[in-house]
Amino acid sequence: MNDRWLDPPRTESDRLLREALDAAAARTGDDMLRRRLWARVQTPPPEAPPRQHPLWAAAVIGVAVLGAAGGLFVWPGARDQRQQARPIAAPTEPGVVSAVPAADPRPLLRGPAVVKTHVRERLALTLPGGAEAELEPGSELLVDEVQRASLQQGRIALSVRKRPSGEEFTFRAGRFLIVVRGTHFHVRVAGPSVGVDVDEGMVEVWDGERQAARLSAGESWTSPPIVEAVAPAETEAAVPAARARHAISPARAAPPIRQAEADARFRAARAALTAGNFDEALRALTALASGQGPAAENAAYEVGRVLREHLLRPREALAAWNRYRARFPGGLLQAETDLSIVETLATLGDAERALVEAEAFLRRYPASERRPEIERLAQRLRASAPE
Amino acid sequence: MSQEAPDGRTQSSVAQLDRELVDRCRGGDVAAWRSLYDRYAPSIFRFISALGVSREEREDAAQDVFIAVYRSLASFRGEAALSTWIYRIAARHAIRLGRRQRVRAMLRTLVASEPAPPPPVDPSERAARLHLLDTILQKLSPKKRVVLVLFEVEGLRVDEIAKVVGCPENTVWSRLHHARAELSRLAERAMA
Repeated sequence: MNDRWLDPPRTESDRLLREALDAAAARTGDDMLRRRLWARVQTPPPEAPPRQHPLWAAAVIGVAVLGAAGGLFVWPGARDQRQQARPIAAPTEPGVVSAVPAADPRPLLRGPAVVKTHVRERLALTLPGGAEAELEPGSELLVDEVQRASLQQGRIALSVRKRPSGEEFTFRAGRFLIVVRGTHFHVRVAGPSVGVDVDEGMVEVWDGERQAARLSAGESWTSPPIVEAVAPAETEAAVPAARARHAISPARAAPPIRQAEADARFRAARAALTAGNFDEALRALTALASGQGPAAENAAYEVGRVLREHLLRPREALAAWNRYRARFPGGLLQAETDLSIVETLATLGDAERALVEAEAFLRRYPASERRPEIERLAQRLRASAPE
Repeated sequence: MSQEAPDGRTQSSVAQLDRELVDRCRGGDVAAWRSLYDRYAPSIFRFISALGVSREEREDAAQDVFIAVYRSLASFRGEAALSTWIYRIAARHAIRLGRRQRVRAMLRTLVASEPAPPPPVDPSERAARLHLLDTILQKLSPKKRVVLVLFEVEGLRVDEIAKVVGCPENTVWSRLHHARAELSRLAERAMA
């Protein structure tokens, strides 16, 4: 440990400087900023491959340098290429499980975890609750901290042994909840579109409080196209306003864009924000948010921030964050979104809903750095609630 | 970040763990990359903040640093500690960004009819101290600023700083001494 300069301070300015240095040493960013940053770096763009030189050129140079004939010389670029890191394919929560299975051919997946399969990879797993699953190529499965499984993208086959009456196995896909008691079925997710194909048994598909489908063996169902995904907590007034201003069409989600391009678009949006062009920033983020992947998640959250903090349209911000919840259940920025919703509802004076959200936040994130202030807010809201 | 692990592990065992972590990252191990990120993200953010990257650009700058770290993993040979190597990347980025920010600010005052709006002010005392420090740190030359921040804020030893900045230890001491003197003078003037 280095000696502490200006300790003890000799003058008032020394004291301020010492305090400032201590404050700088503590300026590590809060856990939400680190999570936001992780969403941006978890899948770094792969290196540009080094230029390849034909072997004859290497041989000529080798001969010229060493004055020796014969043999093959490995060009440095090729050697470096063997060492370069493979692009990371699977993100990201703490406790992530690698997509490569262990010796057990059907390992038990414990959350929180995200599993992604490559384009030529299948993965057999056992889910919490005992369902046997096979994740198909190019798919993404999430298990949250309370062991709820949801298919984010792609296709999965599930086998659930028949359960006693009253016991059910549930599985999430998009905003839908699939409920089974013993069956073999497949779930498909492509952007906001969700589909279920039943091989055996009976499957129920729920959309919030409404049963969307009840399928028997041999039946299939696909979610109807929607204009916007709306979560239950949204206010009636906010939805038409949000639809009018931000015509996102999640029924036809944009194809995934490359990380480098997503990053450039995100930075352009932030630059517009810094320059005070809030409408331009909002347009750029909204476009990015309609895509898929971490960049879209980040942008979907930032849309809300721009609306609340810069455009001063808190109700539309709430709508944006509720869209985030619907599109990215268990997403990387779930905690930020939940917190922003709490704060915005409190600011709007909707004490009842703010309290519901605050209490849910405290249950979900017991170790959050923001816990003390949310606890204080919840106490104030309880105190102000009518008898 | 320093080469000695808080649990008392030796320098060589920390170096070995660093190499293993880097090897796993190179192999596409997600958990290893996350582990590396979790270990260094707080320090990187603190470091680039103290080096003068504006609040609006800190997240972008931190992202740049981590992407550069990831892309450079192939070239990490384990001769320096992983922390040293990462600080080096971060210092280069932050200084380059600082130069671009100064040029932009200069162009803005030359071209714009109105000055750029001031950043929003956080009224807390802590924020005031940080604002003062950030302002006067900007007046130091980049070489002195890096050495001072690595020593006073990041807590690196002089030999470690020498490896980050690529100069002899005596030079580090000299820059630190001058940086401290200049910082004290600037702080006094700011308060007057």
